[in-house]
Amino acid sequence: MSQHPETEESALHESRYLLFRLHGESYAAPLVQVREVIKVPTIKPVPHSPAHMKGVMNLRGQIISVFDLRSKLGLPSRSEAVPGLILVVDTTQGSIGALVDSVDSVQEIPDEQISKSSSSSEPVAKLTTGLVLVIDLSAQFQRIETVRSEAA
Amino acid sequence: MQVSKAVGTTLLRGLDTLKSYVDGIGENANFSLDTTEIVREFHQYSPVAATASVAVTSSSDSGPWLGVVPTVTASLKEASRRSEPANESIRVPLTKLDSIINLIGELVVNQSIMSSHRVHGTTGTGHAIQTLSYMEKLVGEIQDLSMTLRMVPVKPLFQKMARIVRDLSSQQGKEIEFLIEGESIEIDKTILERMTDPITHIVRNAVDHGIESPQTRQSAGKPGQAQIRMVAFQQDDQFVLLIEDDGKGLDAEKIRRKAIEKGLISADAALTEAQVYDLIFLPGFSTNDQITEISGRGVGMDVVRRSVQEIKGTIQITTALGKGTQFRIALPLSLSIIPGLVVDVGTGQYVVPISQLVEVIEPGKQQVQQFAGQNRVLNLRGEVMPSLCLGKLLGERVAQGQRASLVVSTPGGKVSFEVQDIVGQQHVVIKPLGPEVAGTPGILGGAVLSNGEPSLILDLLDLYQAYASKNHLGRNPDVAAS
Repeated sequence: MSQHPETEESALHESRYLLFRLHGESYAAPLVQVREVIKVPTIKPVPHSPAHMKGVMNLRGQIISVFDLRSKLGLPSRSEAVPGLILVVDTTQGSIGALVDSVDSVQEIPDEQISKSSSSSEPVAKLTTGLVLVIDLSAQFQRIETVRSEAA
Repeated sequence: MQVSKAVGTTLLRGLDTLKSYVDGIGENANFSLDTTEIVREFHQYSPVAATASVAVTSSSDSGPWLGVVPTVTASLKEASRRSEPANESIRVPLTKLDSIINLIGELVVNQSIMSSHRVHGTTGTGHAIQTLSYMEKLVGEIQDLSMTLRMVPVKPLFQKMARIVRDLSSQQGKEIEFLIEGESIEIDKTILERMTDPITHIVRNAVDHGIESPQTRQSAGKPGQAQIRMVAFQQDDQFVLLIEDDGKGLDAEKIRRKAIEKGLISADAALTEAQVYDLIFLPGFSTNDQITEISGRGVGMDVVRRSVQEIKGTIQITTALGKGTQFRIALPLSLSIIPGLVVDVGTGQYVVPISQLVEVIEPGKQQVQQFAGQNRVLNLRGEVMPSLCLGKLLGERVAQGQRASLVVSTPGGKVSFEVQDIVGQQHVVIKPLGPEVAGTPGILGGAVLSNGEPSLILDLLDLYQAYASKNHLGRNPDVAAS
């Protein structure tokens, strides 16, 4: 759906964001972080894994972990009726899948429109349609990994 | 000139000197080495080489590396250092490569035939189906062949061991005949590299602790010259290596005493003989009263077993007091693809490595009994073992009514895992998992099933260990046996 050439690192691409929905709210993630968006395939649950970890899936022969972004962000879990989509995100430790409710669009959000307020941990972008939370997906899943490795 | 053992030693030292020379020059162009001593040693045997010595020794004076004539320990150190691959590369016979290229050529032709079927809308015809089945055959062959690209013969390992036995035995005044069999058997290069240190350790132990001095041997009625045999062969889907010596064997009573002394088992623990021998694999165990330079620091056998287990192999000892010891190491042929059994635990399918299974049975009602406190046991031809529900171990909510049992041999004895159903056998490629899954006990890797769905490969031994340590049993042989 949105295969993005990673070689072009112009300012234009840096400021492009993928808008997606979780629990009726809109969120934005830097487009460069999202390698592709795919339909939810069969997910194999992993025994004794944390709640936000949905399991593993087969992405063209690679087995990658799938996380539920809702429970990762502390939102109520998704009803089965919502089919959902998976954002494939590249991290330093390989790709992961992030489960979201739906994907809206790709939008350009200039830096001026993003306020990094000190009170909330995530920056907020002002769009014509309203406010959206900007999620740094790479950092989100980086944190999961470090927390896990500390616990282990 | 007669070729004696001394000549051999001198030649080997010469070789060592040349090797360190070449290595030294590789690191530093101005490298120099004192070769006076080795040259003198050579002169003993050669009456006419007086002029050569000038040329060889001329560079020796200013060198920072003074007086390096490799001693036994130096060459051993070097041997272990060499086991680290400096550059990851592999030598492949050209014929192998050619046959793969040929097969891929055929695959490309077949693929274009398939494409033309698609273009002409004839994909359902008999001809197309024939092409597809030929393609399947080709892909299988390419996979098999490409797996063998990583395979190397064990010969270099055997040669290295021969050298170690030679050096150690002459250092300790022992006479040992080193016999090898199956040096052309092939194994995955990474496995061979990772097994080199553990095998070196076992061989050193055999020379150091296993083999007695010629006098002791003779007074025990054995020939003065001892034997160490190293045999490699392939059995089913495993590579098996036997290391046997005809030395003094393991003393079960002594091991027991030592283990009690070190607090590894309690004084009244009832252990079978095999369980006693298994104690030598525990961390911090060493029976040798005197710590020698070569081995006996008690850091060995546990590391050996861990390295073997890390690559999903098994190690067993059989020994007879006064007669000798045999180590049997069974390793998978490849690290990346394994024969697996696909099982259904009731809520989903998992893959179990066939190498871990002793047998798979469909037990009758009377064979599985449930005692108070959820403990089930399986009676397998008179052998009683704990029977665990695999699905429940994996934290899944599974219904009663397990139809098959997978019998696994763990260090603490056999254990049975009940599963809902056996789906079938499949060679699975082990797929790496993300860091958040990789550490989960009992999970060896990911796999793609033949229907394209993702699955997990289970490590039943690891799973049982995690279960046992959680329930405070099994891991410690003392408790397991009581």
